[in-house]
Amino acid sequence: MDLYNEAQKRKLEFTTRRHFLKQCTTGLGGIALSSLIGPQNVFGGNINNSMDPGALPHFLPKAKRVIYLHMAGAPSQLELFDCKPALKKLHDLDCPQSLLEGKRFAFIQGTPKMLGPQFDFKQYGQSGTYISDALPHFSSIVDEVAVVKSMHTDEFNHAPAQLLLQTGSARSGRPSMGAWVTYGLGSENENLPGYMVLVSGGKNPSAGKNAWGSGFLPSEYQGVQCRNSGDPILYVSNPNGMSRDIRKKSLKAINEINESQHKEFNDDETLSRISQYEMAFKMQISVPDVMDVSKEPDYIRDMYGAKQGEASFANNCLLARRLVEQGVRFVQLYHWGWDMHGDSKANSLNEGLKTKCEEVDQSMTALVKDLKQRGLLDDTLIVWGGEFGRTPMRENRGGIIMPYYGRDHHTEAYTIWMAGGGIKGGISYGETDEIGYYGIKDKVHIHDLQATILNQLGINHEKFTYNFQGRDFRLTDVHGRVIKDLLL
Amino acid sequence: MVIFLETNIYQFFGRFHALIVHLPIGFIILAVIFECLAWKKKVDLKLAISYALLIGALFGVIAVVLGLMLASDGGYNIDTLNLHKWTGISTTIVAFLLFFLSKKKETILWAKKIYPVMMALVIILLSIAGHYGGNLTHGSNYLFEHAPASIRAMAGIKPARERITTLDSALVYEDVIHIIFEKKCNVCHNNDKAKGDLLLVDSESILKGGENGKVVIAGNASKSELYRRITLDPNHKEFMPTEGRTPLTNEETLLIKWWIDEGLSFDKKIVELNITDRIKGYLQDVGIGLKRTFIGSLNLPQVDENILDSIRAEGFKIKTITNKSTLLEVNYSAYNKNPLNQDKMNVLLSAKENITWVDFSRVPIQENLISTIGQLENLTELRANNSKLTDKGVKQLTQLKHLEYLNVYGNPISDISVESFQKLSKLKKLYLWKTNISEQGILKIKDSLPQINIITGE
Repeated sequence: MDLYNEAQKRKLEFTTRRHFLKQCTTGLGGIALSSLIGPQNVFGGNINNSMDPGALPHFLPKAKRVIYLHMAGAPSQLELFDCKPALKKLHDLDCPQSLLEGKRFAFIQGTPKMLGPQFDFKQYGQSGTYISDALPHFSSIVDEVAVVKSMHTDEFNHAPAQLLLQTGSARSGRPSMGAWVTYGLGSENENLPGYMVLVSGGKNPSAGKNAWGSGFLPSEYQGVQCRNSGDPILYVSNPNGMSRDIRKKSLKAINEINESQHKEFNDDETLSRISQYEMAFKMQISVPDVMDVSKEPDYIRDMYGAKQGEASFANNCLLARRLVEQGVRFVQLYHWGWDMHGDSKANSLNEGLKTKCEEVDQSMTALVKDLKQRGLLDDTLIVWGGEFGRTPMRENRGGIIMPYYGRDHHTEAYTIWMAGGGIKGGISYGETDEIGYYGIKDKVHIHDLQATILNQLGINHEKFTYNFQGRDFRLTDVHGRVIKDLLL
Repeated sequence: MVIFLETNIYQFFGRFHALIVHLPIGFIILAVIFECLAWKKKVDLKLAISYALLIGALFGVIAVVLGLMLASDGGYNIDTLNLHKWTGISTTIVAFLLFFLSKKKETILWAKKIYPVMMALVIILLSIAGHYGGNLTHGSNYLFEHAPASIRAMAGIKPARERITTLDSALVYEDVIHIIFEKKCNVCHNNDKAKGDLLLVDSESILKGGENGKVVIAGNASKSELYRRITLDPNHKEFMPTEGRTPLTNEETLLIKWWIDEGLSFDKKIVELNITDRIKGYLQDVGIGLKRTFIGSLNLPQVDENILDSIRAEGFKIKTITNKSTLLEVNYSAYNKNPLNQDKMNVLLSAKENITWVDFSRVPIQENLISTIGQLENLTELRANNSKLTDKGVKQLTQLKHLEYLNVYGNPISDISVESFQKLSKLKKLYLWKTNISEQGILKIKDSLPQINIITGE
């Protein structure tokens, strides 16, 4: 017989409910006190942090909506926008140690070789912006866009880098940019969600659905993902035998029960649920209508290169235009497949990248042109870019020569472009060094980009906060500065 | 006491003057208030009053000693300092006298007579000492800086020069640099309190410099002491502004650098110097060259919330364009089952002055309703694309004298409307994609409105 265990067991038998109450008084008192003196709920939620709807915008907005074209996997800036003739001369030479010391890469090991640009560049437009031959359509609209060549980030893996870009933090749990924006500004159309997400490229982004989550904001502000085929949103149509009237009556009954629950427990999430049921009912009509590409005339579909019923970036671009036209506040597109490591033909700079460019070039160009002719480009901000850039060195995964040309993940410098929504057209902002390794002038961090996007929507990123677990949170946390040189 | 030898012990204690000085003020005023109460309400507060006077006087002594220590460092205007010093000392002495009188006034007749006079005197002395003390700390302009012009005139302050904020005519020193100095530096470097013997109030004092010589070298900001001090690490003991006061912003710092590098001009206009786009941006941050838009110049009262609710009840979405503005934006959803009609538009007119943006995209607007839109006198942006507008309809929009943005794409309008567009003299952007307006028509509009940008699609 184990005497120790026996003694423990005996002791526990004497421990009664009375012991619990006696011994926990201080702890219970503390919990009670904290909810008395602070506005927070004991278990983290907040009772009183809803913002006054009239509090935004802080100043006159230039943009009312955002279309964010996220090229998941991170396209190579050195093949598309950042023209580096010096890198061509260094092609196939060993990378100098000074660029490698103290650095960590996702895959590069030892001493890699430098890799010259795989496409030729030409200057286009009145602005003389450099664009590579991989983007023939895009080169016709360079005078509408601002190319930012000095972006940099903190994360060199896809998921954390995507989260940093979309939520301001590399750890999951924060609200995404679209959730912040719709929480602050609401939707312009009460029949559609304010924040919609369209995914193409065959795969969700690495960060998963956290990338369009609502974090600690009320869950009605999370992005609503639409599918490319079948019902755009699962179960959006009524099942057989269920008429719209019956649906209406049953939702009414459910909402009444929810309301009485809310009166009893006072949980904000119940209110979110009620408004989401109401939204879902309206969406049964509005979503199939807005998501139907066949309602567009042929010449518009041809302009984008969209084909009905196809899960493509082109279709999503056309849908994005249809959505912002109807007043959706934030449309988020993800297009997977830009991760050109050189480990296979599909992941190579000379083959795979070309295919990817063909998938997006015509449609993203059409999106800018179509928004412009409709007068929507004035107040719709388009942002295009990946979560990081790619190295000027050739990837040598495992210390061997890879079968195809590829580049590793690179945080120090990469390129994005923006158009519309009060952004200057025909400018290139920021510079990188002669091989495109570091930004050397006007560097722009992810948080600066977020601050600038909010600024265009009339929001001061330093004042737009949400109180959660005892502290005010912002999209840009304690960072970010608005890049004024980009603004009209 | 060794630890005190390495520092300026006078300054260490002296700086507590600003803290302690409020105690005698408070106690003496308390005594006066009690005296008034005792006299008015016939209550016995004798003991409280004499204690308040004694405590006030004792703290007065401490405040005087600390004040003398603080002043020993110099850097204050000698006339203001003397006034402050002697009124302060007098206040303390009179407070002691009052304490003794308050004991004696029950028994001695002259004490009873002189007591109220001394009470009045102590308040006057206290006010004078307090006022000049404030001037020493904050500068003599502080009190009336934001006073209305009439009060400034009464106080004998010369009317402030109206600041010029247009880029073409603003002066680099008067309208930019002087404003920065006044805001961030002259709390300490003013006529009453020249810390480090440095004044930054006019060209003469700035060029003269401080106790360590010149602070600015024309054409060379990086060699200028002033620029060095404002660009140090904020924790450095020579960093300016010191004592935790608000540092200069990045833009302000770079404007000062630019001003010194450009030759330290005190009378030139901004446009006579070299200005880059960046400098223009920085200038906008301090309020120079901001374009004043038409809606920025409007100053309208807020529309009553009940009126807004009645408009919302008709199916419009209406809200202010920013959280501080009184101007309104309106839209009407294309999903709305009820078409726009005259009744709805009449309700909208109840806020007609404040409405500046209207979005009726894809909402059919009948011809007879357009005259109502024409009555929105402060309208600057109108979106009426795909709205079944006709040439007759467009004609009724010509009353909109402030319209800057008009989107009428997708409407069956023809060259007849060209004349109407030509009358919209403020128009900057016009969207005419999918209309029947010809190339010649567009050229005609461009001829009469040179500032216009017409978008016709491809």
